[in-house]
Amino acid sequence: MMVKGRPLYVGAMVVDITERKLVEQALRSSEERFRSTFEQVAVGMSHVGIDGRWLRVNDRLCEIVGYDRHEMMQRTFQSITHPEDLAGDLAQKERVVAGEIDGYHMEKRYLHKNGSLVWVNLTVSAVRPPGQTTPAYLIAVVEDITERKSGEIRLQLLADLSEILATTLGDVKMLRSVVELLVPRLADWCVVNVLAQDDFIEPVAFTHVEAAKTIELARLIEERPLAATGDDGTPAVIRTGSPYFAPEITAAMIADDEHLARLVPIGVASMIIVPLRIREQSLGAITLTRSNPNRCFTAQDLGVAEELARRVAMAVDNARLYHETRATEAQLRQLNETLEERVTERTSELERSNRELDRFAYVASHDLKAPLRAIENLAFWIEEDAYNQLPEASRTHLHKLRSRVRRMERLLEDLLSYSRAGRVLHEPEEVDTGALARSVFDLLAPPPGFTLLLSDPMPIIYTQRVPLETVLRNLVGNAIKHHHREEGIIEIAVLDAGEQVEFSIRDDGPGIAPHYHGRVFEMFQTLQPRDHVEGSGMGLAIVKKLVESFGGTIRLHSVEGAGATFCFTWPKSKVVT
Amino acid sequence: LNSRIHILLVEDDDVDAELVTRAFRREKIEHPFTIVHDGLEALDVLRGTGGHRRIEQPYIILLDINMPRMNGIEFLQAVRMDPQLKQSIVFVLSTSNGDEDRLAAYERQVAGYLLKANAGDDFRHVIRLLDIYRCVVEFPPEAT
Repeated sequence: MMVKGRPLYVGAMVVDITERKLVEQALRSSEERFRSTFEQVAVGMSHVGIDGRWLRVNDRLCEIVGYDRHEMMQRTFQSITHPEDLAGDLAQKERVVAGEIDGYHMEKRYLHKNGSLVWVNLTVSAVRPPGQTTPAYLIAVVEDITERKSGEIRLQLLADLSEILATTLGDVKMLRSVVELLVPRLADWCVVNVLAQDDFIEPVAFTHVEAAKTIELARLIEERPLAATGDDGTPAVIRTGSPYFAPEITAAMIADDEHLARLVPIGVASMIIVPLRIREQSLGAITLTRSNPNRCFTAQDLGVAEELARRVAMAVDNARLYHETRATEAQLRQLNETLEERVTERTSELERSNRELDRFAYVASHDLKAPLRAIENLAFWIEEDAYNQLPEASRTHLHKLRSRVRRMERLLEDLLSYSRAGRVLHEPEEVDTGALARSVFDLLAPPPGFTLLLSDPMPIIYTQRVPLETVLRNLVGNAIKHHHREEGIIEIAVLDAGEQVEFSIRDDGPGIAPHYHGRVFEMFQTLQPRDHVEGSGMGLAIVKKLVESFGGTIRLHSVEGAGATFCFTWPKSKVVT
Repeated sequence: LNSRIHILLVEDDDVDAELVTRAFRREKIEHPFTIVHDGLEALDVLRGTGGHRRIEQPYIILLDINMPRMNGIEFLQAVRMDPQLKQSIVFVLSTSNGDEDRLAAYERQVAGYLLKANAGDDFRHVIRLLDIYRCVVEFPPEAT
């Protein structure tokens, strides 16, 4: 109090402010703690007005979206949210403002200052004054999940690729679907080149995220086809099988590389070229390009690109194998058909030629025999009418004339038999091989010094009798006819050999020198002059043809001076005893 | 009556024809004998066409198979189709012993299929058979 300028008294009021100070201090330290927490947490934090303006942001959030604190204060969260995610965010925020909920949580994208996308995990909660519904402000916690998200995106991309590969054939259509999948999810534009035959690189699928630039891309591709021998990106990748990875294409690189320079109009900021490679072989390559320098490819992107190229290559390869198999099958089928046709053709040709041969044999036997018979008859009549008037020499000549005529008749007869051998079918019947051999021997009326020995047992077989009889008659007949002594032994044995029996006809005659063994079975071959031993030289040829026509074989075992053994096999369809 | 049986030999080969005539002569069998050289000429003779005099019944035809113009089988076909001639007695006399010819001949009702043998004894049997045949076998009535 002041009286006449002098203090009357000093009133003192002592207010204990310890508590207040303490509170202030506490508040201050709480504020500091809050500020320090706000600033130092590893996540982005902000206070946001209910209108969306940033009230307070921490450094981490600034870092996540690329704006500094000052720039942030001039913006709203709406302005840096990806347009596709904005509606969802706003709707949730309105519910908080309306007091319906206290907060929300979502994954969304921010647009980074550099134009790239940032995936974040956003948690929003309301700060409401006591007793009020409308929040004073919102607290937003922002966590950068771009890394995880792009991993998920890559996985999803691969899953979607698998879907395409599983549902389409590995042809051009499939490659177009792949390109549509990769743009824009992995790249801004994409080209699939395949190595065609003759080392020609063919761009089979391509697209650009902007339609107008797809046209430009098409023009660029068409303008300069890639040569497999070229040293620019794709050919080199196809040749070496190693990917090309240029995460940041710089102005210097463009200046150096004419090929890259051509691509500038459609945007070339970051590029990956991965080979379509399978079984050590390049089928082609996929070019992935991003036009935005702020969205360069990462090592992870390269990994994804390699993986998807590997899968696409496998699908293309499978499809090729499938088509090749199908083509091979078709070829095989066609070959079979052709073969069958040919067999049919050949068979009918053969049948025709057989008929012709038959006809020829018939004509030969008739038309050639007729004049022979006339000669024989005329010779006979000369003999009959004028034998006594003829000189001795003429009588001998007439005799020889008639004998040559008979020889020629036999030749023609045998030629006919040969042509018919094995083609005349007889009903199979039970044939007692012992009885057959005996009757053949007897009917040949051998000189009295000849003996037939039969092995025991001689089976009864079920077969065509006539051709077997012809074979035996010829072989036994030869053994007798060509024997060098007045007496001889002919042994016939029959061995069971499964579905066949093997006959052996053995004589103790002069034998046949080994170098004649091949020739004896040929037509018109005789080893002795016909004036000594009558024979057409057809017998063994007929035998061989008959045996072979029944699916058998015939062999000769003989050395000169020690007899001969002919062995032949004969089908027996069944043995009766 | 039977001694007047006419023998028509259809044979294009002169030596074969002589074989038959010689054999008949040697067996001392006398018959009216006509030789023609193929089926067409034989039909003319049987029908009295083509400037030929018609051979009257009874007759036996000795037929060769292989002949120019109309062969033996074709001739048989024509004879069996002709109401006037279908009853004719025909023996085939051929060098061919092929199954096809024999079958074709017997299907057209030949009285026998004889093989031409070589001159000499063998052929005598054929001539004797024909001689006995004409003596023993009753011939078909004249076609009306």
